[in-house]
Amino acid sequence: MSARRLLSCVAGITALVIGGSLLGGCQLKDIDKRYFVVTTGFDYSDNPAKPYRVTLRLALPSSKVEEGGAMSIVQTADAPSIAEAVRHLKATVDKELEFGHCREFIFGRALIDKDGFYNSMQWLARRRDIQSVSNLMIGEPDALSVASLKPKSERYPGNSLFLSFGNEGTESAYTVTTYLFDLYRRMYETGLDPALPIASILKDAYQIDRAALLDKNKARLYLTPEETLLFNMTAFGTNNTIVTLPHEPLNVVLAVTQTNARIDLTKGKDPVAILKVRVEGFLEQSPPHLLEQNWDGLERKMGKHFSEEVEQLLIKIRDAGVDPYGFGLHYLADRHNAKGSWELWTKQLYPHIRFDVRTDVSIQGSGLIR
Amino acid sequence: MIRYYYYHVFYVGMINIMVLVPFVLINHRFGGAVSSFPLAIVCGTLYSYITSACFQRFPGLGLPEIYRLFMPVWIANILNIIGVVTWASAGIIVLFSYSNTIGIFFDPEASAYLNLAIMALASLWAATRSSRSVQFTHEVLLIVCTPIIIWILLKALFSPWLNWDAIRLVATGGIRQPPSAICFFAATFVFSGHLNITLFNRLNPRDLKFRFRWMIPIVGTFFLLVSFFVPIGLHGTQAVGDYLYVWSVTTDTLMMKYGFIQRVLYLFLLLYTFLSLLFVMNTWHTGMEFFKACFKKYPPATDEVNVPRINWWICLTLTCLTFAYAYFTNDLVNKLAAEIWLVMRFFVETALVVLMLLFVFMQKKGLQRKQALQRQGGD
Repeated sequence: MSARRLLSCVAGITALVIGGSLLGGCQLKDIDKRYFVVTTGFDYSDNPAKPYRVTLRLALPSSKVEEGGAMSIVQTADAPSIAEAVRHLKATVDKELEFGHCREFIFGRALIDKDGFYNSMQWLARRRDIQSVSNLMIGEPDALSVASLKPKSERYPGNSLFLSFGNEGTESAYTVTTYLFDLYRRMYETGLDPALPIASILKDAYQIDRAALLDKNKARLYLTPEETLLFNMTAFGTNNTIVTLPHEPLNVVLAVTQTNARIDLTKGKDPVAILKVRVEGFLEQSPPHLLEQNWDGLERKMGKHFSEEVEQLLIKIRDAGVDPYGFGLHYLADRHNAKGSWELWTKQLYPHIRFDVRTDVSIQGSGLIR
Repeated sequence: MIRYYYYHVFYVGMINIMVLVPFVLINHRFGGAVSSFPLAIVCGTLYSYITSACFQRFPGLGLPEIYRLFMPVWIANILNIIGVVTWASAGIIVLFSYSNTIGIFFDPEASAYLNLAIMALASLWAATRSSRSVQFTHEVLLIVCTPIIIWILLKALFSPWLNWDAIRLVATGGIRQPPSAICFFAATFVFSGHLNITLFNRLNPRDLKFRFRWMIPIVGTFFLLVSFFVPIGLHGTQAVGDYLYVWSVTTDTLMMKYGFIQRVLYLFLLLYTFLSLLFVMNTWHTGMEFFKACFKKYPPATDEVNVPRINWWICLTLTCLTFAYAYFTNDLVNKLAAEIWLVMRFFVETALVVLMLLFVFMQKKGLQRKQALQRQGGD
């Protein structure tokens, strides 16, 4: 390598380093100059000039990680829109807001009932630092109170709420999990409507055991915890649930380890909606010797009871005019998206559709250990 | 040696995401996208077979040398320049799309030119190397990326949130529509890895046999169907049309719960950094060699230790063009440019196939211009 070549190499690298540091230096903010948002709440403030109330729960970093050691502060601002409220909130804190770790977004119940979630979603879907796998929920009585709760069990701020969803922490059969991308898909999809879990406060913890079924903007139906369980099993195939059969003197309870649910429609002009459910599990509670007397009979009885309950729920959902199971999408796929089939489905077929729930219960064992 | 040929086929199948092929196809998801797939598969496979069979008859010769065998210099030079424009512009479009994606998802606060500058400098350096070095770099990068990219694609394909009804709706509804031309052009891109043989045939030895060519339709079809249908399954038939960088958003719906980082998106973007670098390196290198072939001063060479200075000047020009392009365009214009490029590429590909068939015919008839020019095979 000649001296001249070497010199040009050195000059080039120096220019690169200087240029790079000049370009980079003014744009990156250090981590200690950022506030990590852990929970965001959207509420409806009854002020027509500033209808949106945004609540941010901001984590205060701490050097030690231990139960109850999580520190956070809550900030609130009202504004004509969510984006403006967030900008306004920046004026009340001393560090840059960072949404990259925020995985909980709470819509206040009043917001869902009065304004709907459509406008809020327009902001959520555009923020590139917000993860598509964020959990969305409805807050009761409002998002502010849910976001302000600081449970004692938290190891670091905000982790209590997101451990409640999916199968990351607790695996509750009553908790419906809706991700941001899923809500966005269901917001626009023909024949598939959204569902959101409802989070409320019980003493020092979150209670997430109900769900709301929505049309493309507002809530149409609030389910009870028992209905939520059935819905969660049949619409999302949630595992680790229970199937019960009323019985004297003690209810029979099947602890379900495996759930499969599949929808189908019969062919022809007047289709019947079929929901095939298969559950597997073992008995967690039962009067003695019930299973041994008639194993097949008990399976069939439990399946029949479950089917009847689910059918009641499906009719209730149908009458509310929503379709969270995606029967409509299935119908369109069956009809190859032919012209006019969507109008036919929503106007004539779905409001009067009959349901056929086929449950196949398979009991693996009596659950007895001695 | 045959593996180098298939590396090109593989990575072009994967890079389709960066030249906005899924975006173009998804825009026409209710039109003729699906029905143009069978045509694209047949056409792409046929082209791959023809070019590989034709180049086999000219071992060790790149396309510029073959032009010289059968054509006057001025026609050969015009064709070379068309090649330069086709290849170099592909690199520029990918570089811009890539730096934009990174700007959106990795580092929204940094200047868009910073991402572009880092990537362009890396591409500049990689593309100026000798053809042999480029080929080896290609092998190393691809072996690093491919398993993890396939893993991400399969993870998306088997995600429990994938809605098969949405996929079924688009597939069965779309196959009944008349095929659309732009979708056909876009879909054939997945199969056009064979185009890179035009330059890298210089490195192929005399006795090269193109075995395993049945893999081309299988691999191409897999990448085509996955990159079109998986976003539809995860974002629904309607909402999927709202995204420009649709695959970045699609990988964001996946989670690695026990991974080092939870968002698959970042792993995906890192891998596509490699793939984009690979693509730009290959395209700029090919463009550069085609340009050099226009001058007698630069005979085709594949193994230089010290690359000629002209390499740097050509690639530096391309880098400057990239910055000019980035300055004058935005996402919308880039989208249009990508579509125009996809169409142009198809016509260049067709012209190449016709020319190669013509050359083989002329060779059989003994119509070569200068026998002396024919050199020995690659190694």
